[in-house]
Amino acid sequence: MKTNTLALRTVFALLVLLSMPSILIAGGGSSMYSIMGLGDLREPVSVRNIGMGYAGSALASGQYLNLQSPATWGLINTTRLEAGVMYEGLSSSDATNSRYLAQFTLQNATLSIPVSTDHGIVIVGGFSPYSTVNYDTYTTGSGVTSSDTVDYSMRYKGSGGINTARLGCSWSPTSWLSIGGAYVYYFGYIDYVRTYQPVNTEYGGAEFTQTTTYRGMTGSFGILFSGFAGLSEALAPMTFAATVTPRAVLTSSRQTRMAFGTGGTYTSEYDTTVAHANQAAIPLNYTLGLAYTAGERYLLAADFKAQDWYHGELDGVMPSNLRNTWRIGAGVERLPERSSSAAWKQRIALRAGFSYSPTYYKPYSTGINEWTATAGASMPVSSDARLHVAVEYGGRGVIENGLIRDRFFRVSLSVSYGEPWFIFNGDEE
Amino acid sequence: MTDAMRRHVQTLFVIVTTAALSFTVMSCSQDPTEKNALASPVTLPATLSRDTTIYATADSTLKLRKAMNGSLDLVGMGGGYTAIAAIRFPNSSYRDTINVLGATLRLHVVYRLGPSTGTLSFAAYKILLDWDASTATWDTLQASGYYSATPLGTFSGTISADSQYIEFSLDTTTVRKWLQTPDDDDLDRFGIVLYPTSEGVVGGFDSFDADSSDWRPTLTVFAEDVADGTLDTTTYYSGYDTFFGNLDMTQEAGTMVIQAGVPYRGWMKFDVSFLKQGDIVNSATLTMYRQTPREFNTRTVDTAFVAHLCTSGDTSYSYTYTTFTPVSDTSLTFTGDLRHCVQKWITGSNYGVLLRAPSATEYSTFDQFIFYSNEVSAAALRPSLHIVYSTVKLGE
Repeated sequence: MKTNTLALRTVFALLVLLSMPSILIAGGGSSMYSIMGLGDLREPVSVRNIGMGYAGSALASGQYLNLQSPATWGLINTTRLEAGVMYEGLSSSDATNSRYLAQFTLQNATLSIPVSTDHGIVIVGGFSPYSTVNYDTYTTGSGVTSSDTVDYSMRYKGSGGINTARLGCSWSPTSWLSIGGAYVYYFGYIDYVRTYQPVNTEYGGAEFTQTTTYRGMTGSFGILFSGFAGLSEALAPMTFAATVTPRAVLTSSRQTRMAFGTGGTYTSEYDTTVAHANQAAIPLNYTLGLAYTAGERYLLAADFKAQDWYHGELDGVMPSNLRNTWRIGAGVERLPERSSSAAWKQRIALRAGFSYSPTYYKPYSTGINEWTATAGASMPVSSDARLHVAVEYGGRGVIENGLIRDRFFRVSLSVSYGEPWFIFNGDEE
Repeated sequence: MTDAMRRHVQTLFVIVTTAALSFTVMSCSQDPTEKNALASPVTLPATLSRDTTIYATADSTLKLRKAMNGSLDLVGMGGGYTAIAAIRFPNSSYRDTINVLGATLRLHVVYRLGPSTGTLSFAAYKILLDWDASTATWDTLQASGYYSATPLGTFSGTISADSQYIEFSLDTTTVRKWLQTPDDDDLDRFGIVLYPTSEGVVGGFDSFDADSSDWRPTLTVFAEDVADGTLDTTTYYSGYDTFFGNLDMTQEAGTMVIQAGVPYRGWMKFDVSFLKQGDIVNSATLTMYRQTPREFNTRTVDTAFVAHLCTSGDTSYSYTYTTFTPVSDTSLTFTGDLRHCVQKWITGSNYGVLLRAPSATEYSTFDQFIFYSNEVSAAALRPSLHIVYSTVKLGE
C-alpha cells in the first residue's frame, strides 16, 4: 500500500495548526447562551454526520466513525485514526448591540482497532467535547452608600467545558444485527470569572475565578438492524439504529479564587474558598436513526435525538432555566466512485442536510430553538486517508425579552487515516 | 530545485499559510467593551455597596531601640531630647609613618531641633568598645566603659542657617593612632562619640551616606612624614557613623506617640469581623487627630507618618506602607487609606497596624506626632476607620 506521506504530513500539520489557536489563544468567544447549564452542548458525531444535518446514526461504514453510535463500528476494517477541529464564527445580537465572535475547538480524536472483521468486533477509543463555555460580557452599576457612590463595571467571562473519553466495542453476531457499547467518562472544568472594577481606580476592585470541576461516568449502548429485507425487498437497503446513554451523575467540586487590588491590577491580596462538593446529572439521551441506500450512489439518513433535561441537575438541583431538548436531522450523501482508477473528483463524497432543535436553553421562560443547514464533502488524500469537511449555517434565539439572536457559521475539518494493523482473521493461526 | 526540496517548500507553504489564516480568522473575534457588551440571558448577580465607621479596639505606644544609621546623625540636647553621634574612620586611612601636627573634624549641619538662638555644644570622646552602625542602639551606648572620660575635642555654637559647616579640633595623638593602626577591630580604630555637654538644641549633620563628599564628615589632618619630614594635609571623608537618640517623656493619657530618632511607634487594631470572605474593600480611610505640635521650635516639618500592616503578634510588619498626611497644610487632622490592611484582615489574620515615622525621617530626625488615641475622653477625637466595601455574589 502506497502512502502519500507528504500529503498526510501536510494535512496533519494543517489540523494541528488549526487546533493550536484553541490551545494557545484563550481568546475568541462564543454565544452568551453558554452561560446557562453546562454550556453549548456538542454531539460526538463525525464530520460526515454534521454534513448530513447531524443525521447518520444508522450509517455503518468502514471509512467513518460515529462515536455516538457504537453499533455502527463493525464495518471498520483497518486501524483508523481520526482527528478533527471546528471553527465557529458567530454574529450575536441583542436589542442594542451586536458582535462577531469566533473560536476554534477540537472536535474529536479517535482510534479504532478492528479485532475481528468477520464478527465486526472493533475496539474504539476517543475524546470529544460534550459542552463548551465561552462567553464574555460587561455590566455597569453604582453602589450607593451613605457617604459615597461606587461606580463600577463588572466583567463576566466563562470558559471551559466538559469532555468525554470513550472506550467501547462493537459486535455483529449476524449479518443484519450489530450491537455496541462504550464506557463514557465525563471530565472537565468550567471557569466563571467575575472582574469587579470601580471607575475610581483608587478604589479596591477584585477578580473572582470560580472553578467547577466535573467527573463522572456512564455507558452508551446501541443496536443496528439491517434485516428489513424480511419485511419487504424494497426495504432491504434500510437500516435502523438506536442508541441510549443513561443518566450520568457527575461529582462536582467548586472553589473560588479571589484576587484583590486597585487600578485594575489584582495582585495585592488573595483568598480562596473551601472546595464545595456537589453533583451534577447529565440526563438520559437517546438517538433513533434511519438510513436508506438509494441506488448505488446515494444515501439518505434521518435521526431523532432527545435528552430529558427536566431530570438534569446542576449543583444538586434541577435548573429552572433548562428544558428537554431534541433534534431532528435529515441528510443525503452522494457516495464516491469506488474504483481507485476513477478521477479524483469522482472519488469525492458530497453531502447536504438540515436539522432543527429546540435547545435545552429556556431563559426567562423563553425556549431557544436552533436550525442548521449543512453541507459537506470527503475527499481522498491518499489510498486510505481522507479529508472531511462540513460547513453549517444556522441560527437560534430572539432579540425580544432581553435575549440574544445568534447567526453562526461553522466549518468542521477532520482527517482520517487507516492502515491494516492488528487485523485478526478467523483462518489465521 | 530538486523534487525533495520542492516538496519541502510546498509543505512549508501550506503550514505557514494555514497558520496565518488561522490567526487572522481568530483575530476577527471582537472582545466586548462596556459599551458594546451583549445582554445576558440570565439575571446577573448585583453588587451591593455599604459603608461603616468603626473605632479601634486596642492601641498602644511602643518605645523601641533601633539602630539609626540614617542619612543624618544627630547630636545635642534640648526639649527632653538627647542625641549622641558616633563616628569612625576605617583602615583605608592607614599611614604608619606619620606625626600629626593638627586635626579637625568638619560636619555639615542641615537640621536643627530647637530655636535658632539656642546653642549646640558637645565633646568628643574615644569609643572603647567595638560597634557596628547597623546594630548599635541606645542600649549599646549604656554598656559600662563604652567611651573614655577624656574629651578629645569640643564644640559650642549656634545653628542659624539652613545648612552650615561646623568644625572643631581633635586630639592629635588620638588621630595619629587612628592612622597608624592597620586593623579596624583594634581599640584605636573604634572612633569617637560626640556627646552633648549642655542643654540647648539638637543638630543633625550629613552622614557618610551623603551624595556629595563635601557634605560628609571630613577629617583634615596636617601631618609630617617622620621618614623624610615632608609636611602634608590630607582629608578623609569615608567612614561609619550613627547616632543614639532618646526622649524621656511622660505620655499623656488618651494619646499615642510616633517619635522618630528613638523611636516610638504606635500600634492599633480594629475589629473587622463583620466583613465576610469575598467582600471587596473599596476604601478604608483612617482619620487621626493630632495634638498641637510641640513648642520646642523646629525647622523640620513633621508632615507625614506611615502605617504598615502587622504580619505577626510581635509587631513585625510588611514592607508595604500607606502615607498619612494632613488634610490641609495647617490641619491637625491626618488621613490615609488602609484598604490593603483591611482586605488582608479579611483574607488572613488581623494583627493590627503599626504607625511610625517614614524611614527617611525615623532614622535621621526627631520628628514627633502625638495623636489622640482610642482612650481619649472626647469621642470625636478618637481614631476612626471609615470602610466602604462591596459584596459580589459568588456562584450562579
